[in-house]
Amino acid sequence: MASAMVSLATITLGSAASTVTFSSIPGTYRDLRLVLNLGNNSNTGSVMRFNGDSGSNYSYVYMSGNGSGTGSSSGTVTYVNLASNIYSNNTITDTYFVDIMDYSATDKHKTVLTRGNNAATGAEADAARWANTAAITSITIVGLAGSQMIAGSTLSLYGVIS
Amino acid sequence: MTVNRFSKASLSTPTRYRSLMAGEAAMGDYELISTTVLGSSAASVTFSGLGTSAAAYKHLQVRAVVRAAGNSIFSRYNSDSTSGNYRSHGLQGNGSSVLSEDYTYARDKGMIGGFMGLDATIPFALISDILDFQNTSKYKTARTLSGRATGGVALDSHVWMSTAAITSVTVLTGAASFTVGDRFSLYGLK
Repeated sequence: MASAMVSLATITLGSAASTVTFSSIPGTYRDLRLVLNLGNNSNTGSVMRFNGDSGSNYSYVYMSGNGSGTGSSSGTVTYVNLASNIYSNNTITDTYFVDIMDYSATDKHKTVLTRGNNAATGAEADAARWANTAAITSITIVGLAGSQMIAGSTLSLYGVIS
Repeated sequence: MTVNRFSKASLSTPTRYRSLMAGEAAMGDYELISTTVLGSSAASVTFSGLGTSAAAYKHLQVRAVVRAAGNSIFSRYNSDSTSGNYRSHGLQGNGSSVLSEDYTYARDKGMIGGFMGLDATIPFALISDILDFQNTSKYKTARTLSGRATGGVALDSHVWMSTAAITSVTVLTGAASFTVGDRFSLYGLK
C-alpha cells in the first residue's frame, strides 16, 4: 500500500513575496494538507484564497490563546482566515498545519481546519468555509493587508489519498 | 555452486515493499485503510476487522466531513457502550468566547466534535488521532481537531478506559443520522 500523504510541491522563498500560488492541483486526492513556516515583514500574518476567489465567500470561527488570555471570533471575509492571532515581524516563526477537507468534491462547500502557532504571539485553532461547490484547483497564500512573506519562508502542499 | 548472501548494508535509503509483485508500490508510514462515502443515511459508520487490516500500524487517524442536522459526533471502540468507560474534555471556541468542557453526557462514548451542532449545508470536519491503539497495557487516548464555520471549533480529547486492543472504531452522531455524501476515512500511522 502506498503512502497516503503525497508531496505535491514545496516552495522556499528566495525573496519576499506578497503571494504564493499552488496551481493546477489534481483532483485525485481526498484532502489537501498545507504545512507552512512563514515570516512576515509587517508584524501581521497570512491568509488564503481558493481558485482566485476574492469575494466575500469565506467564513470562519477561531479560538486562540496568547499567554495572558483567550479569544474567539467568527465572521465572513474575503479569504480563508488561517490564524488571526499568529503573526511575526521579520522572523520565520509562524507555523500552520492546514487541512482542506474533500477539496475536490463538487457537491459541498469546502471546510478548512487550521492549527497556527507562534511562540511569541499565541496558539490558535480555526475552522473556515469556502461557500463554493467547485473543486479547488488553486491555492493562493497572501500576506495580509499588503504585507509580504519574507525570504526563507517555506510552503509545502500534500495530497491525502482517498 | 556459489551461494551469495544478500545484504542491504550498502543501501543508504532502502525502500520497503510488501511484495515483489510487479507494480507493487513502496510502503509508506501513513496509509489509507478504508474510506466510506454514504450512499444512504446512517446513524453510524464502523471500521471493523482492525486486528487484521490495521495490524501493521501504531496509531489510527479518522478523517470525516459530514452534513447532518444532528448533535455532536462521537467514537466508540469495540462496540463498547458501557457508561463510565469513556471520559472526554474539550476546549471550544464558539465565535464569541472560549469554553472548557467536561462532557459529562458522554460517559458511554468519546467526544470527537460538533458541540455547536451539525448543519445540513455547512460541512463539519474532524481529524481524530487514536494513539497506540493496539497496546494492551494501557488505556486508549484520542485527540481531535474539529469544527465548522461559523458555528465553532474545538480541540477535544477522550480516553477509552480499556486495555483491550482496538479492533473496531464506530463513529456515531448523537441525534438524527449522517446523510448521503458524508465521508469517513481511516488511516494507519506507523
